[in-house]
Amino acid sequence: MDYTRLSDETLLILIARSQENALSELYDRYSRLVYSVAYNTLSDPLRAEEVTQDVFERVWEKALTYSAGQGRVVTWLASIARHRSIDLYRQYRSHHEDQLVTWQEAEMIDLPDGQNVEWEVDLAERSQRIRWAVAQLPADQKQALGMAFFQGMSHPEIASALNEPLGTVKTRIRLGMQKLRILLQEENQG
Amino acid sequence: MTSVEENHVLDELPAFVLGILTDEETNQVVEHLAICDTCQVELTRLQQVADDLPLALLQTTPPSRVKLKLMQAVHSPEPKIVPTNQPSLWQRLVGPVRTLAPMVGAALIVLLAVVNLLLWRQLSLTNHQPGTPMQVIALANTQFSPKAEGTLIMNQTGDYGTVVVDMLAALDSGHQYQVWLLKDGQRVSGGLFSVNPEGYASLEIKASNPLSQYDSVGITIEPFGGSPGPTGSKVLGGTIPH
Repeated sequence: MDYTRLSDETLLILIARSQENALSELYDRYSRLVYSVAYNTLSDPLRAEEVTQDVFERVWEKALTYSAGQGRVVTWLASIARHRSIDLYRQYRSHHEDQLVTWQEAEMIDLPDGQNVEWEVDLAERSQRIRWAVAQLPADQKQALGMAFFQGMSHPEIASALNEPLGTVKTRIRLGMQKLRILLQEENQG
Repeated sequence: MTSVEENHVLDELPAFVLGILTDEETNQVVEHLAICDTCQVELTRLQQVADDLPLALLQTTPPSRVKLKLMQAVHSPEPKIVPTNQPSLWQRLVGPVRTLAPMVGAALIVLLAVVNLLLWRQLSLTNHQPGTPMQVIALANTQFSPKAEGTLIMNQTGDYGTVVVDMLAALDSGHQYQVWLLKDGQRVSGGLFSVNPEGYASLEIKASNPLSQYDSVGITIEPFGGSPGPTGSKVLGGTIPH
């Protein structure tokens, strides 16, 4: 069977039936994303590796708990990775300095050619759109968003870390998210 | 129009989807969302942004050893039991049970676990079940966690154990769940944990005495890092058999 042509949801069904090849394919698709989420939260490659392995082991054990109502599979995986990483980040926070999130540059990436399957095209297009939108944000908004989303820091924690007034941090996060929403909405309509 | 309806929460929604509002702020937003279509639409759009944010990261390939270790970890000659419906709490217990009894074969544990659960449910027992390798104590939920499930699993002699919870609410960054052990009216901490997005967690209880020497176990919501004694709402609890 050519697992690369199967949808994410189909892979999860096969994983629930102990098909290791299906887990291998899902790992190949999303391990970079999961690892990157963990690394950007933890700033520690070894702990990011632990989180990555843990996320996919949980998928192996709990594939049946996924439901379409939780969003796309990639969103589900990223959410598990983010929450696990934030838990570890809070546990070990005193051991390292806060680090800036590394956003991907908004360069044009090649969309998959005609031989690629739907999941691959969809992922590439969504990645390109969000990278372009994030790149439009001022640096201070990107920084505050990254600390909130990937490190789970509250408004006061971010204000303290950046030595900025609380109101300023709140405004940056609000404006950043609202601008991303507007940019992506315009992109979809355009 | 009530004041709640008049006060849109559009400015709070970005922080709401990022999960960084305080409990009080979150409650205000939720209360308004329940009656405001305008803010619901904005919430949906912002949630889509948040869902896609991980895709904007610079992506790095993990070392090949990660996949190697993963595939070694999941590879087993024993077939995995596939339930026909949503997995029950008991099926989620299989993992922690393995860690508690590393000398027992995985297949035997699964078999004993299923039999144990059937007996447990059928007889509505909460005490030690003779003849089983583990003691399984169901924890009762409270008004603060009406959907939560919890179980304390102890080894046969009651020396040590693990608490497993499901469908507990995920807490904000300032709080954690804390396990308490009660003996002669005195409560000692058995450890702290947070739940995953699905409300699931397991925790090996740390105690200075064998668990069977305690009278009961309880779980409360406490400030992050724990409290010297219970201060928050109790969400689960149960009696430890002697």
